[in-house]
Amino acid sequence: MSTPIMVHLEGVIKHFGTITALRGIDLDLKRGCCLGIFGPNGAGKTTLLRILATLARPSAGTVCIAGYDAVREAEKVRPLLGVLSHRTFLYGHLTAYENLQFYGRMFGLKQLTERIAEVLQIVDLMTYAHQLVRTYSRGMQQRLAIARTILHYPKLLLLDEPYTGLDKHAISRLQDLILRLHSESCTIIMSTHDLYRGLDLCDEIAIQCRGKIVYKGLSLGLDVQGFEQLYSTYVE
Amino acid sequence: MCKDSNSFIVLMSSSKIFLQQVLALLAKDLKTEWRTREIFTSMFVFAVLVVVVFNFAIGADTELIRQVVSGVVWVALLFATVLGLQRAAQMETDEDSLQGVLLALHDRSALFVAKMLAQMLYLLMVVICTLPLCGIWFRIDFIARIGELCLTFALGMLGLSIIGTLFAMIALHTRACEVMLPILFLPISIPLIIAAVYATGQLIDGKSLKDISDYLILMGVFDAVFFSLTLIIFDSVVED
Repeated sequence: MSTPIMVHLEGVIKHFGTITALRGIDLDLKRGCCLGIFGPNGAGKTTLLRILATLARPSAGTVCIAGYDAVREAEKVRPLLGVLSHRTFLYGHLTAYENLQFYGRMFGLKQLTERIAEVLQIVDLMTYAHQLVRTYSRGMQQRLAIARTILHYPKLLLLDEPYTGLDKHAISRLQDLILRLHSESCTIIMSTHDLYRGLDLCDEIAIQCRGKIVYKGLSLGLDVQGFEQLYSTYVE
Repeated sequence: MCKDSNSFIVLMSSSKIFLQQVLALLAKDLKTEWRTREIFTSMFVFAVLVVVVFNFAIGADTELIRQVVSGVVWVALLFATVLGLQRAAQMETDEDSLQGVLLALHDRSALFVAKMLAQMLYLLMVVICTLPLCGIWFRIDFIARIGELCLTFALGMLGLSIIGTLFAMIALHTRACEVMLPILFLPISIPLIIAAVYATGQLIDGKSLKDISDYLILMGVFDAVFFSLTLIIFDSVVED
């Protein structure tokens, strides 16, 4: 039996006024896959992730996630998603615990206290749980954002430049977490400029340029030098 | 029959989630405000300053005071609302938290309802603190007509909160958010403010509820129309 498709995009176009950010994206991703999207600034990576996250509506095309239409059945898609970007989506005047409690209540999670303790343990912030988030360092805030992302057991993780602003410790935590979630059959889509880390984590890679996916393939057998050459061929 | 009962279960479950999310959002906003007191302080200080400035401008002419006091109170509330909304909007944009909230919402109008209720509570606090000061400075007995005034203020504050929240969310998606909010909000609020000023003024003059019923109906219709309209369009308002 073949693995079911988690993400299906067909002819996705996105206009912002006269600017076309996406020019017909076609993409299929199987459940449990980890896809790295690489591309220069302005390639439309963030727009693509925002459409997948139901935060933006495509101007044309089909977006299906776990069999649901992400435009018409967005309320069914949202609980399946965990989104991590370089902005944390956290409230500085609330403590780490209160932030997670807020998001947990929004998702209607049961046994919230135990789950919060579990995710804080994963990101190594248990000691600082009752400290206001605005007193956290950038790295700690990003680690808490990781806890927020995985709090509601997402099935599809969307990571937009997840390493931005992270210290070494936090990068290693995030990588461990991605590997762990990947091993638990969580589907992951990550946009990053970090070719080395992206290649290391992802089992599929895509290169996006000027609003189109110009290359998609398996990362198996590719080394960083080979990938850099491939990247240059399509991007420059 | 079975289809009907299934629809009813879905509706009940959706309503429960909606209420749960409204309460979570409201609790978060109030907790943050309790810690910072930024929104209430800015709104209250501004409202008091408006009242003080008018107090000096009008002087001691008792008849003139009676004529303009309702206008002074509502102008103070109107501009205080703009200040409160700007601060509340900034809280959601600081770390792009609004995006996180949108990702968690089952029905996005829960965000509108929660923000509107929070704004209404801030306005209520401002009215509770400002009205006694107005009574003292302008020598007006608001207590004598407290019941009727409560109804008038409730309708007026509800209207300001509804359109304020709607336009604050629209303005958030524009570059010059702080300029756009008053430009969008103030003209639309004019019918509501006119009705509120006349209703309050006539109550101060000793008129009965029946005499001001037209104004109250106008305010009620304004609130109902904008509330329903916002519930319908809010999903598009918060989307790119």
